[in-house]
Amino acid sequence: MVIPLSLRKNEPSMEDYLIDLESERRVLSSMLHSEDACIEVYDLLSNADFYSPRHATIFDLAISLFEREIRPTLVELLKEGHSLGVFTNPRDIEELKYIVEQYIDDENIKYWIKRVKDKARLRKFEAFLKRNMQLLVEQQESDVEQVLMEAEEELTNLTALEIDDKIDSPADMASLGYSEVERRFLRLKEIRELHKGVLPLDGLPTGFDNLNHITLGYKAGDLIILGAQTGHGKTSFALHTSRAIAVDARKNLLYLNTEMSREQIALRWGSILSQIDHDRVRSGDISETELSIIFNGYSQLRESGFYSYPCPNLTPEKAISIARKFKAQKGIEMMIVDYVGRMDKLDPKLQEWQILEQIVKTLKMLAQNLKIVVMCLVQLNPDGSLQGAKRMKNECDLMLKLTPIPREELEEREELKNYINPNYYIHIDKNRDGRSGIRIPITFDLQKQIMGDARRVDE
Amino acid sequence: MPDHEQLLKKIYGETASRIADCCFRGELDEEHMRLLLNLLDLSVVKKQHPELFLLLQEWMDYFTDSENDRIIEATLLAMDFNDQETMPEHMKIIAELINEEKALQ
Repeated sequence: MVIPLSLRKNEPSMEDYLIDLESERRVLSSMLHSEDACIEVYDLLSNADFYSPRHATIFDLAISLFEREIRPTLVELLKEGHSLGVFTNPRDIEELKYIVEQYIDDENIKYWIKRVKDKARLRKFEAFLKRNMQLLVEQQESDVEQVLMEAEEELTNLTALEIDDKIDSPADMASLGYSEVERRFLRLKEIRELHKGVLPLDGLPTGFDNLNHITLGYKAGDLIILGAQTGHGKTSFALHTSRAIAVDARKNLLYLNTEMSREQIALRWGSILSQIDHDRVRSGDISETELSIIFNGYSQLRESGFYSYPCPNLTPEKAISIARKFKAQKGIEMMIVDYVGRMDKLDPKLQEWQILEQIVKTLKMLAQNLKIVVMCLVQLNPDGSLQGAKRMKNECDLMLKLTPIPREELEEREELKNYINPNYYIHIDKNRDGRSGIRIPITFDLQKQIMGDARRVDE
Repeated sequence: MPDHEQLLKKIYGETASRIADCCFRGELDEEHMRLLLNLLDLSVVKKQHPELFLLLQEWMDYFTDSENDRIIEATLLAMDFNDQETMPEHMKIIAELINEEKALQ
């Protein structure tokens, strides 16, 4: 005779297999003590993963505070819980106190999250077994094949779908395909009828009309690589892009800079937004009228969606963590990393190209997971080539190179004579969604830190 | 974690839950509960505005439940402890009221 698990002496009960309140408390406690823990938990757990309804409530409160940029301390939880009327019993307060006191800040948060998640999945499995057992008892005349098929499908969902967020069925794929074609058909119709042939953007504005036309904007999930040689406009390009997206289009954007100080970035904005020479802004050699123009420029920045994070020792892990936080709290649509070569190494034994490849892969995954655009700036070699270019190119959706137009080319290339003072090219090296191998002439005013499409003579 | 930090955490947890419990039992109204909790967070977790606690200590030394004392209390209750821009202004008002009270005594 088989003895039920719960009756065997000295053996863990079924509840021990399915419930782990200690892990739940540790996860919650970590959230109350560390912002990094909040960021991890925000992405990986939901309230349904907690067995204890009280824990699920505390989790919801902490997440709600975190989303509003309020640190979820015990006091903030008590205030929030009181306002919402969710703490109705002194035992709720006792439990909260117990969590805070007993389980201190824990760096091993991923381990505890996994435990909570695993138990939640086991409970789903138990519910599946119970449901099917009941089905067997109550519906003995059912078609065996049908019962087994349904059980198999449910069980498969329990395992596979937990890992892959979504698997498209044939119907899903057909429906998605049709709606995409329909959307494009209607858009083209609208372009012809309303916009007189000018294509509206599919993503965020690039800051260059010609680049907008070719790419239809930077799209969520895209990784864009911009390469330039030292002193040839990487940061200017990044801030020009930031201006188009965060100042002009008022979308939220996060700018990670590994080289410059807060003051340097702020001063750059002064000349970009006022169109006054950067050297003069920096030295204070300006008139009172110009000071007033600069002040007006900063008013635009104040109202914009530009968030800056100067970070000299940036690692890929830190970039992920910051991006998640800003996505959750500010709803950023784009992140710019200026620049990849200055990021700290994951493993000192790796070659430079291997490190760059790893970073670029991480950033691509980040763009897809958070559904944001990620632009990373890389340094070109003096001959214009890029170390590890082939591998980087494989990972990115759009690869751009910013290069000065050689003097001979300016003198000899007839096409360039149709433009007013072009001095740089944006070379589209790769474009997953459209044409590549194109060079767009632009003007880059180094003194004013301003870039723009090179205007045609006949415009 | 050093012992004194653990002890501080324990005192923090105990104090916060005691304040919330008093509100549950009706011994403290909600706005006073919020004020006490905010002060607790400010001193233990956020570790900001230590000058406010010096002010509160000074206030208690001269407290007579006067008109000024009631204005100070109302100012404290109205303070937004998450707004770093208005906090110094409120503390300035409180300091002025305490000085006025001291002069009266």
